Amino acid sequence: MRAHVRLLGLIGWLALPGIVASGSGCGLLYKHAHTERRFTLYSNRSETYLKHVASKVERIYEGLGAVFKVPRERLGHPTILLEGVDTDVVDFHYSPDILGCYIPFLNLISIESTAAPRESETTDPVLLHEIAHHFISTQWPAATSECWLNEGLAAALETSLFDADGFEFPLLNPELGQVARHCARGKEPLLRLPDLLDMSWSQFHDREHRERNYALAWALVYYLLDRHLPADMPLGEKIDALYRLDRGEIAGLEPKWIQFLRSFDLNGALLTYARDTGSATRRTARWAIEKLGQLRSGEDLRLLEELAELLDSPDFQVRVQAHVAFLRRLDQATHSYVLEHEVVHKGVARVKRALRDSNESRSVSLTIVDAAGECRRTQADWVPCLVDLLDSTDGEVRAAAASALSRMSAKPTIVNPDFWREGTPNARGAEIAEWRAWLSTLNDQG
Amino acid sequence: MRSIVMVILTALMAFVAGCRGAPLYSIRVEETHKDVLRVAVAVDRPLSIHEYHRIAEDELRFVLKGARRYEVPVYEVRFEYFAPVEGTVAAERVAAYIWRPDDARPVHTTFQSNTETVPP
Repeated sequence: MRAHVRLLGLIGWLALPGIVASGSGCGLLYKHAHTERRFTLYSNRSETYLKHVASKVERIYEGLGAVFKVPRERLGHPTILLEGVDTDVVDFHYSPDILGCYIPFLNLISIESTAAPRESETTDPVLLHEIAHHFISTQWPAATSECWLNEGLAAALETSLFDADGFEFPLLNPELGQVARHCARGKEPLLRLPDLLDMSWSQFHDREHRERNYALAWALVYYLLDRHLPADMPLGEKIDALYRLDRGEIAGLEPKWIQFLRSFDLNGALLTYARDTGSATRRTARWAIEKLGQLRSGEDLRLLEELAELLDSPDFQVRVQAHVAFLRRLDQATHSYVLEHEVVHKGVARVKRALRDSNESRSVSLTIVDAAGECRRTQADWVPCLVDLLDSTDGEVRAAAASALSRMSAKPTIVNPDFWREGTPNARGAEIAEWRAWLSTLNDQG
Repeated sequence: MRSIVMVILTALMAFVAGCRGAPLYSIRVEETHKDVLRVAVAVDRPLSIHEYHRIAEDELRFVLKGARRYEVPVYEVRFEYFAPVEGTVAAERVAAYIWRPDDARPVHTTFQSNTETVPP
């Protein structure tokens, strides 16, 4: 009897991967399936979301395929599971342990997408990271036992930028860059490079040191690709050279690598990308500007000065991104003296001009108004401009200004955009008069 | 027979032990703007997304009913969930959900100012 049970259990375990890997198995577990030439997606989220992600996955396979040059038949037909449900609830406590994984022997990618709003791009880095693993482990199977290479390279490729027209590979991972630099400048002795190279899967993914290990693995791969290998070598060839570099030679680079980490100017690297707004690097420029507005940094003044210069960029999208980044940077500035600096004053005046400029394109105005609505510390600068915009000739701008004011100010107002778009001028005028009276009360109070 | 009963009992005990009671919560409704209501929901612990959604659905009917009674126009109802922080008496915001009518128009619109204008 026991022998039968064991046999049945063994058959079950052997059959499980097959069931999971086969379309019919996933079809039983998920509501929706979407099959493309290169992959099949399964999810309990809506079919619209599935199609949205499928188009991105298709584009990522094209983009990474052009770099890795792995024959399509070698990649097989992966199964991609998009976990999560469609919901409008934002769960601030939600913090999954694993955002994604790739299981080579099942050719299966699992992506956690619960936190991703329906049309957002928040899953892009996870998709890029896991699909990069698919390419790496197909092209160089030994990488699956070299965590620094597999994870470091995937972390460098997860920041790739793409749209329907092109793909760019900055390889810079600002978040991991900050962690790596912190490790290198910290009081604790830095992990030795030979130890990083020899780490087993369980050592690398150890809960306590996982973040450090990911950051150092990225920093090593970035150093090798960006500083060690020839600058004019195509990325695909660099990756191939990375696979074949003698591990002893890499370990011998430790002093130079540590020097690189300690002196690494992350903001400087992002600023270099941000200024390079040529057509071949425009996606990277916009991404870098966005990061300059988001990342925690002790160099607020330097960043605000540089962002202020981009406020007048002739490139419409760079201009929009620069305004948003300037507002965000200003609002999170660590030291208040930054706000008193002349360059910052000029930047603030420039943003105010853009807000009030009726010749500015509607999408620029709407984006700046929306970003101003998120400002808390500098709201006194923006509220009067937004009140003026309630009287704009453009109904969409009026509605956006009301929405921004409702988020940043305690004064009760009418938020409904229909009122601001189509309400009678008299009713709107009464509401605007109320706002102006409130502002003058504030001014009188000093 | 006895073994079947034991299996059923064990399964029942495992089910009961695995079950967590229905979430306990209290709500407070505020009119944050002239057509926006904020519902602060104090929950006894962080919950699942489904539970947050169910609480919002359950409470929304009463909130809208009250708004109609007092002729408060409703463009949006913002649910904010607060749970106790372990080891303290403080509560932290753990989730949020914004409800708007399907047609994005208010349930009832008067566009009349019905709140006092108070500077912050």
